[in-house]
Amino acid sequence: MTKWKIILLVCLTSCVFPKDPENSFEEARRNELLVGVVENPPFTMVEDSTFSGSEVEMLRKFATKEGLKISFKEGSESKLVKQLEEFEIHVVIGGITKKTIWKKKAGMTVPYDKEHVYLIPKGENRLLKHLEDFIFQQKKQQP
Amino acid sequence: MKVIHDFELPPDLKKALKRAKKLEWITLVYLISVVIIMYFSLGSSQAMKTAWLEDVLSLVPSIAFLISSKINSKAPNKRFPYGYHRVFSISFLTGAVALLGMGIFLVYDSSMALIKADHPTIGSKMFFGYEVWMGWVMILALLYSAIPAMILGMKKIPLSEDLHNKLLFTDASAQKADYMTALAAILGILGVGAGIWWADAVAALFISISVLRDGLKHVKTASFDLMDRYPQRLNTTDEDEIILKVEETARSWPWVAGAKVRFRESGQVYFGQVAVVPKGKIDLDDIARGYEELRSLHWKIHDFTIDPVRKLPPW
Repeated sequence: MTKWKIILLVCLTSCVFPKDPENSFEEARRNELLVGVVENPPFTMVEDSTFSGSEVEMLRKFATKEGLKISFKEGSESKLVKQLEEFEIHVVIGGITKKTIWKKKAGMTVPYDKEHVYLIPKGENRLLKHLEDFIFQQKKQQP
Repeated sequence: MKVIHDFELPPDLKKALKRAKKLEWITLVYLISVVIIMYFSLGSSQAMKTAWLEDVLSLVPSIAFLISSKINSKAPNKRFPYGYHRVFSISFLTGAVALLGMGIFLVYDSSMALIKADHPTIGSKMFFGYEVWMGWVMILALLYSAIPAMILGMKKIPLSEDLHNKLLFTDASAQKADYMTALAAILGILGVGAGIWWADAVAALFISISVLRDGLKHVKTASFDLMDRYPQRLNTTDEDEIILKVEETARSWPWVAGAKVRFRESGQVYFGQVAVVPKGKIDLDDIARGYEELRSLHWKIHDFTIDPVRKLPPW
């Protein structure tokens, strides 16, 4: 009996584990996924408030998979990271590498291609889990 | 009269020392594996970082014990006429200072994590085709760092008491208490998983304070030993009753009118003086016999002089 309870508990916790201390993923689900974009072709390109580039496309795919509305806005790296720190936006993209100087101020996903990562607000582990699920899935599809 | 002895433990304690050395070798290999495994699961958890640094530091007593017991077994010589016993006191003090320094750093570091409201980010990794949240991996690493350590600690404590070896005792009792560190860190990580970002920093602070407290306690004991405090039994504040027995024995000799003794700790053994007021003329044979009798009381009563005096000294 206790064995089953433990298994059930592990299942339950792994479904809701980990949570976001500041509810970023919940917010994205309720409203929209707010993505800060640092222009850096070919990863991200901005032309008259149309966003394109490989990372922009990938995040659009992620939003579709999770059933999220998505909105992009352009900014400088330092300004967008500041907004991450204040939990105002959810993701920052722009060809950022895993050796980024923002390591201390922002969280990051695993590299989607061995080098490039997405930045997230620090400690938003549920959002991170969803993003990384997506990244691992993409990697499996195109090895 | 032969005053300088080669340091020889009684046969049963020689066995205990051999066993202690073996256990310390096992500890050393095990701890190195812990340090490596923990390092690769660290992530950005403050509690993990703290627990890891504590594990790195816990290498010091095992290494110090193995080196010191090698040096300690050397016989006294012209350059070191009292033998090498104090090597244990020195390594004990050094280890204690390291622990204290690390404790201060960790308390600062963990407090800063709390003050800055640093939210620990814990992601996932692929293991054999499965995606695993690193929090679970950290918890496994912590369990690996705690359970074998506890068993080793519990095995080493009785040996350290038999050998009157503070270095070994410190090492063993820290390991026995390691489950507290692991438990705190596990709770911290589970807290983070449940969305409580400060659980991690609070767990780290708890661990840091315990490191700091141990550091303070050991620096105090080590300094007092080096300042020749009255010898105490391990891990108590009781004065060692063997010394009272030495005094009683000296007083019971028929050629003695009064006796007073003082001893100090020199690593595992005691060094000291026995002052006696003789009745009438001094017979050197009496002193030699008395010397052997006192030495046979306990192996810790290792090296001392019997000084005939007119009047008992104030100590």
